[in-house]
Amino acid sequence: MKEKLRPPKLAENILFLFLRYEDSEHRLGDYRESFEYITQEKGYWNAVKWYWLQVIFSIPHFIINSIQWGGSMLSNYIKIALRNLYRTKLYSILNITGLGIAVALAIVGYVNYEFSYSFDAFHKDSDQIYSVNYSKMRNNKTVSWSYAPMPMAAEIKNNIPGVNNVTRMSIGSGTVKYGDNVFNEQFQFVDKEFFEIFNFPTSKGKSDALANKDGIVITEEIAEKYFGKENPIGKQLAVSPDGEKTFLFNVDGVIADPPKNSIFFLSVMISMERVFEIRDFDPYVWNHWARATFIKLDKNVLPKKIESQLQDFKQITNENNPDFQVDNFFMLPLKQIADKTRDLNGDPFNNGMHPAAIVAPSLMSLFVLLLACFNFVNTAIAFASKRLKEIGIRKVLGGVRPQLVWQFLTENIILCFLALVVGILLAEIFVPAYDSLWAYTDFSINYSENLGLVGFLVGLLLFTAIVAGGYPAFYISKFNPITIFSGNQKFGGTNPLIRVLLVFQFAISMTSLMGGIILYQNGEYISNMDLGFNREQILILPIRGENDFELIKSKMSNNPDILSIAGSRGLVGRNWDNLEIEADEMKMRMPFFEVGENYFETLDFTLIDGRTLDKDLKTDIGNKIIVNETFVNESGWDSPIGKFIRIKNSEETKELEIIGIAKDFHYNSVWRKIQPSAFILEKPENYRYASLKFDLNKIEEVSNYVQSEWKNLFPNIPYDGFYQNFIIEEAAQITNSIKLVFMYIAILVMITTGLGLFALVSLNIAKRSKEISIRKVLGASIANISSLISKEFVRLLLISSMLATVMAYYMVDSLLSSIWDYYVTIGAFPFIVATLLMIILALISISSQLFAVVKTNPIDKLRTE
Amino acid sequence: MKLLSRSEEIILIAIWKLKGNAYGVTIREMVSQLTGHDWLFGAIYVPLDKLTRKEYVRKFNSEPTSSRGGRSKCMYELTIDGKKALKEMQAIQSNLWEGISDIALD
Repeated sequence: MKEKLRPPKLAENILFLFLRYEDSEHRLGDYRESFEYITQEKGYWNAVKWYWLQVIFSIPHFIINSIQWGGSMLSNYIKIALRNLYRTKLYSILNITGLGIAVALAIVGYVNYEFSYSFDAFHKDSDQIYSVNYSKMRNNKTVSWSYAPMPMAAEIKNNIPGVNNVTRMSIGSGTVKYGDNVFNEQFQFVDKEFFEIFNFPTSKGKSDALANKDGIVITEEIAEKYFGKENPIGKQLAVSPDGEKTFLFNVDGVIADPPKNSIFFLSVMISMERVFEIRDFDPYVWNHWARATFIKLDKNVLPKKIESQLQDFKQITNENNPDFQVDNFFMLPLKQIADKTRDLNGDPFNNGMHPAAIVAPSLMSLFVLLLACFNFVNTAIAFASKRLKEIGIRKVLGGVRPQLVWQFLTENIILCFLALVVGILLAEIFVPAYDSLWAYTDFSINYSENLGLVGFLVGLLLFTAIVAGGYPAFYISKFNPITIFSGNQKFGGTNPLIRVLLVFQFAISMTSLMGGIILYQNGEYISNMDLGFNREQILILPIRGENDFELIKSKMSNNPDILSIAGSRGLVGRNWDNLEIEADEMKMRMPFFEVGENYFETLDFTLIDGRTLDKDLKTDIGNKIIVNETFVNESGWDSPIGKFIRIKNSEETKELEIIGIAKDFHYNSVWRKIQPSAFILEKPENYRYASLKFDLNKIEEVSNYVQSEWKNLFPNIPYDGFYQNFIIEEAAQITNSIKLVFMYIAILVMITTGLGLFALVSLNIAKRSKEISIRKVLGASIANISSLISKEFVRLLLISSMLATVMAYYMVDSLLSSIWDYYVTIGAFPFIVATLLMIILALISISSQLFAVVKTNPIDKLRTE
Repeated sequence: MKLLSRSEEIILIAIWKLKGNAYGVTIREMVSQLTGHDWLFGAIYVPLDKLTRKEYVRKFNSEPTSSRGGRSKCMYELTIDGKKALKEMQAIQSNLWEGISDIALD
């Protein structure tokens, strides 16, 4: 029970550091006396709590006091610290660089994270803005859409209290003409309230331009494209939304291009009221849908309350849309939309960065930072062991423990501070380099707006400095000078803390190395992935029906480099019709690709069974389908050929006959799992794309030829051709960027670890120089000595390698499976290579220094004292 | 006279009231009792050090006692200057408050 009366030792030690030495005894006694009193009154744990609170809140008083007393001690510590650091330049530089690189990476990780979580944060009251979406159940899965019925916006505003403002948004595309400048553009139809809710800065003209329905608002990029240096305000643009009717608009406003972390793609904004004229429908019917609807709530209104009131519109919506039943209207906060867009059908918004692309780099940079801190602590501890004699002398001359502790702490705090400066400087290079890896980012570092980052970095480095300096400081300063001088004090190499930290450090660097290799393999895998059809040799031209197609076919098929030409209405990877089907008991919605002549053959889809669609058989059109393997598997039919499925649209129910089975193909990038899908034959007058298969070796010639030929054939329509390879572009870009990020990190980690190893080994050798010299005198070979030094490191490396293999496998596997449904299988190769590389790295850093030891005459080393 | 801060004044009064039994623990208790809220040791020691430097208090060591983990106490007592300062403070206080019998809280 007597032992229980002692206050917590750590708290007492910390307190001791902050008390002036001559007062420390009485004051620790005061604390202790009160502690004992409280223990008796309220029990031990209350007393411990009291003690800690006293210590923590007293420290600021002591610090202020010591500043008022004048910083003479502090300047003394700093002076000695700087001398020490200068004396050991090499270690100081290695430590500062290693930690600096890690700090720079952490800044990159943070900037990356910050960017992706501040989508559209610049709008005033952005936390009061929500989008209105709906969801429905399909095959027991909830599917969400960004749509809401057109008249709903006004109804919400008029009937739901607490809603401050509402705007709708629809999207269209067509040509825009000014003088000789004709381009295809995407239009955004928005209500004039759009600019009240969202604050895109107006650079020219008035911001309420859309109040007048003949007005049009464009972005600076569009203004530059059409008007160059001219003032766009008041100029007239001719807009043909569907290629037939043309509408004239006056440019009334120009807004700044939205930042890249905005969910909005804005270019040409037209008043919502015009969409009803252009598309010719009644704005008050509930079976037309706005692509997106935003509401802004009054302050302090609970979104859940509004959300429940939205359900009142379900009845009228469902009555007007018998094929399109809404189960639930829900709201998404503006800040979350970017994140959720991938799960939201309707595609009205820009995607946020892929979650994996946010989490992976941030996590990795945090790991590297930890690694560098471990590394720093290791070298600091190892290094302190070289200073045993200095400490002994200081103690003999009357140095007291707090002085020694502060000395160590000051040195490490200075080192960490220098590393922070180096890190911030390096970040100026790293951040733009990282930014250039991603197409849809625009990173910048702004420390004054990110005080959290600054606080985090300073806190972490202070913590590192305290651990790195504190461990040896508290530990060594306890040693008895006599044991130090008699050479009996053991410290450093065999220290268990160093070993544990080393194992973790190696494990982290091997993990990132393994990750780098696996992601490299995955990058290769994705970009060479077989999508089940030919994606590399296909050039696609958007067209308007049969005439265009025949023109292109008759003209371009003469070119020997163009191997075949296909027409279609749908397009694999971009355009298809989702139809509700019934097959036996099964009900589902699946994509139908309305293809035309030659499409199946031109894109090299593989037919497993049955026959392909024949354009000459009139009965094939709209009646016969080819399904994919997944459909066959899901339907459970043994011989699907000749079977029928039913489709229902609003007018009629139709039976479709299965005539063939296609090998599975990726129709929607490679992110998503292959689902059942089908091909159906389309009439030539509905062709919207011509797909040209060309000779891959003549890609340049073909592109030039097609463009010049296009100008002859369609002088009034801008050329908008693209390659079928677009289907893997996003995946390939992200894959490639992640690959690069991890490879850079792996390389930087190798450098950091290499630097740390170098420092540790050289300290180890320095400490054992006498031992090594004696061994040499007694006839030990170089091989003996190197195995002596490297044995321990290699053993630790092997332990780390096992740890790293497990860590890397689970981390990378979960990373890959969270991004891709299809990814490379992880083999043994990366693990073996990473382990070997690390061992080689360790051996190089060991041998580079052993060389120096071996070369010196053992007598020189032995004679020093 | 060197002007005293409020906490220095309070501590000075506390030491005077403790009459020879003033050391860290008792000063803290007294001050907490006088002001009605709990004081940190840190908040006691800093003004105590200042008072010591101004030579209003002086300290002497007591014998080590077993109850404090074998540590000795540092006792504080007022110096002549300290007592003078306390008197002056009292005079200043009563000047300040002269003519104010009761502060209406509203």
